[in-house]
This record gives sequence, structure tokens and C-alpha cells, in this order.
Amino acid sequence: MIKILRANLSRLWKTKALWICAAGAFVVNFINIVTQNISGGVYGGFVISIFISGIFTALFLGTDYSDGTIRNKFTVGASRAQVYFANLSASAVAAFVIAGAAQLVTALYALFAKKSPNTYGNVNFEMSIVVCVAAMLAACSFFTLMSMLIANKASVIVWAALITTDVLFLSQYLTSRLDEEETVYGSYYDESLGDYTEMHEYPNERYVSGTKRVLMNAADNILPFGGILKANSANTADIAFIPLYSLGTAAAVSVIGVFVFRKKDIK
Amino acid sequence: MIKLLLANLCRMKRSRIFITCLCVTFTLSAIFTYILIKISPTLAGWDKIILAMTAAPIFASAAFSMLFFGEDYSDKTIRNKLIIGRSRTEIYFANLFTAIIGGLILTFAWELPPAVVGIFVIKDFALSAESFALGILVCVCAIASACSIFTLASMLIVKRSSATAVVIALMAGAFAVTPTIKNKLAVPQTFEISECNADGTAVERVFEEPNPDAVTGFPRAALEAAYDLQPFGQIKQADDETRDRAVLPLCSLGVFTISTAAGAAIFRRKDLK
Repeated sequence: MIKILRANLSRLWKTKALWICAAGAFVVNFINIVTQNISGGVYGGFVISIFISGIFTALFLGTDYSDGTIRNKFTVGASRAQVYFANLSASAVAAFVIAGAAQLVTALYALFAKKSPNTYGNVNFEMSIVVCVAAMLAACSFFTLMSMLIANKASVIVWAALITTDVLFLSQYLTSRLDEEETVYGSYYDESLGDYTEMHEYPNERYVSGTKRVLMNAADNILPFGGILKANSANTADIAFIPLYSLGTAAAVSVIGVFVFRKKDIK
Repeated sequence: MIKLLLANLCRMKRSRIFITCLCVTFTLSAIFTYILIKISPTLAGWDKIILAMTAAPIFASAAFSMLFFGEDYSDKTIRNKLIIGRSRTEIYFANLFTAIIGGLILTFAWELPPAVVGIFVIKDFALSAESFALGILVCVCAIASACSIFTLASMLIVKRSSATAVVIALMAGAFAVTPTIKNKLAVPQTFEISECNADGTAVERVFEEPNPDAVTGFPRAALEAAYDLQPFGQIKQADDETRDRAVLPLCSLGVFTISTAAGAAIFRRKDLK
């Protein structure tokens, strides 16, 4: 596997698309910081990097199919699992290069503007970076799975972009629901009284409790963006476990990917 | 050109790409509408929501156009069209109209679930019929201008995957930056300062001061142009009755004309190998 990984990395550094994607991440995160703030640069930078690395992984790994070079790897004796894990490692390296370019802007901005990102609750900055890095690994495993199982590069790009966007919206929805307070302070219109009640504390209808909360929390932790959003939110009770969820997701997705890839008909 | 257009439409009808885009668009819209009702059961002004939701099918149109027209290059069928005597301009325009028709069908599929819910369940509309019709016109023109950009990219970039990556990344960037542009432009140019008398019991004079956070001059003009010319900006303004929305279809027409003219001119000189 080491030889295939080396060959992949050697091809990776020479791929123009990687440097274009890294430059894109740099520019987009610069705009993101200018229009938001440094915290937006850190967490938004990881979200941007995941989106861009999805496109890059499809382009990079899809070339193996379009050029037919994936068959050469089998011809020289590499197993399908070796090819899969070498590709997964290469796509993870590429994702970190892209994320590094995005975070370079944040570091430069923090250095020159003398600002540091906000942290909430029990989250320290180092912990939130660990959460984001683990989330990127989970996302990479998804992108590798798609790129290895769908031979058409362009289709993978569309699916990767679509799924990334939908998962981002879903994570935002889950995080916002989980962030809801159990009770709220205020008044509401009471139809029996025909008037507004006095200001008092009453149960929040939007608060999710019981099994539904456990399931929503688990789903939010499993999805890559859930961790990133939680690292930047007040609802952070289980922050230390989120990297474990992400790594578990990455492992599960990779095992499924290898299993299906071993049975795939490579024309 | 009519024959080429008919052939394209016939291929589109049977295309797995188009049918997948249609099914995904409709399903996502149904899920999105359901979530929207679950989050805010007392949503008002459903017609405004329908107009605002038109931004999403632009992505579906982008995916469809890039994958569908890219096949002409990857299967080399584009040369067949030239061999039977069709001009490059005819091929370009036939593809452009196919992209627009495909884009409008995908938009219809996206708007169907919220429209049904709005008409039969919510029944709360904020805009007058004329205003809503103008909003629809703005959205249709925005989709047509977006489709002209997709056609340009798909006809000029031979590598389907690269063309798809570029267009999806550009559209995602434009979509993400639109709310920021809107917020920057919404910052008031001046703010009111009230000066009180010495004991603070009465207002002595009220005067206006320039707002240092407001964008003015050339940057403002550039932001306004970016907001008016790009499809997501136009869709965001489709329900805004405070501005002159009749200008927006003209902006779309401008983008449509320039991108089509440039695309057709470059495609005529392109080496198709």
C-alpha cells in the first residue's frame, strides 16, 4: 500500500487542480473573514474546505477511472483494499492542504489584526480544531467512497456538492433545534384570558426531549458538519466525544466502501 | 435549428441525467417544504417564500446542463451534428434553448410542492397578483440568464468534469455571497443624531451624520451591479416591492445577451478535435 500511496502523493503534488482548489479556499475564506469575523474564518474555513475538497477528490480519484489507470494498479498486484486506502489517504492529505490554505488566511488575519477566535462554554480552541479535523476526515471518507464507487467524475462532483449542501443544512437545523433552551422567559397570548399573560418562565415548545433528542444528537454528531457547528455553538456538553463520532463514521464508511469496491465491476 | 432542438428535447426526455435531476429536485423540495412547515407552522406570505425558493433549482439546472451537454463532447456526438451540415451557431442556440427548457421544468418540479401547500393549506399571500406575476417574471429571467452561463461553460470547456466543478463552485460562491452583499447594501447611508439640552430634558436639534459602516461611491456601485446582475441577487429581490423590479429582467437580458454572444462567437472558433 505504501508504494501506491507514494505514487498517489507524487501525482497529487503535480496536480494543478489541487493548487487551484487551495488558492480558491484561500480567497473564499479571505472574503468570509472580511464579511464575518475571525471565528467565522476558523469554522467557516473548515466548511469551505470540506466543500472544495469534495470537488477535488472527485476530480483526482475520478482520473483513475477516466484514464483507466486503476486497472494498472491491480495489474501490478495491489489489492482493492490497498488501492482504496491509498486513495483515502491521498484524498485526506489533499483535504488538509486545502484546509491549511483556508486557515492560513485566518492565521495571517489573527496575526495582523491581533484578534483571536471566540470560544463558547467548555470548548477550548485546541479542542474545537481537533473536532474540525476529525470532521474533515469523516467527510473525506464519504467523498472517497463516492469517487471509488461512481466511475463518472462529473456525476460525483454533482452528487458531492448536493450531498455536502444538504448535510450542511440538515446539521444547521439539528444544531439549532438542540440549542433551544428547555424553558423561555416571556409572555404569550392566552385565548382563554383574551390578553397577554404576565412575564414568566414557561416550557419551550421547540425544545426536543427524550429519545428524539438522543437520536437527533447522535445524528448531529455523526454528520461531519454537526461537529464543526457544535464547536462554534453554546451546546457543547459532549464536545470531547464528537471527534470519536467522526472517526467512527470515517471507519464505518471506509469499511463499507472497501466491501462494495471489492465487488465492483471495473470495466 | 428546430430539428436540433427537437432532437435535444427528445434526448432530454429519455435522459437518465434529466430524470434523476427531476426526481431529486422534486423530492428535496417536498422534504424542504415539510421541514419549513414543521419549523414555522404559522408561516405567512407563502408567495414570497415560493419566490425566494427559486434559488435552489439553479443548482439543479447547472448539474443538468453540465452533465447533459458534456455528453456531446465525451461521446463525440457534437461532430455528428456538424457533419450533417448544422452550423455551430445553430448547435449553440439549440443547446441554449434546451438548457432553458430543462431549467424551467426543473424549477416547476421544485416549486410544485410549496405551491400546492401554499394554495391548498396555508392560503396566506402577501403580494398582489400583479406583483407576484412580476416576481415570477424576474425568477424566470434569472433562470434563463443562469442557463446561458451554463451553456457557455458546457460548450467551451471540453472536459465535462472540469466544467462541472467550475460551474458548481462559482454558483455555490455566488449563492453564499449574495446575503452578505444584501446586508452590506442595507446599511443606511446616514444615521440620525438627537442633541439634548444640558439637563437632558428636551431634544435641542436633530441632525444626520454619514454612517461610517455604509458602503458608498464606487464600491457601492460595484456591489449593486453584482447584486442586480447575478441570478441569486435577482431572485432575492423578486419579492421586494420597495424597489423597481422591472429593471431586473433587463439585467437578466443583458447577462443573457452578453454570455450568449460571447459563447457563440468563441464556439465558432473553437477547435473541436
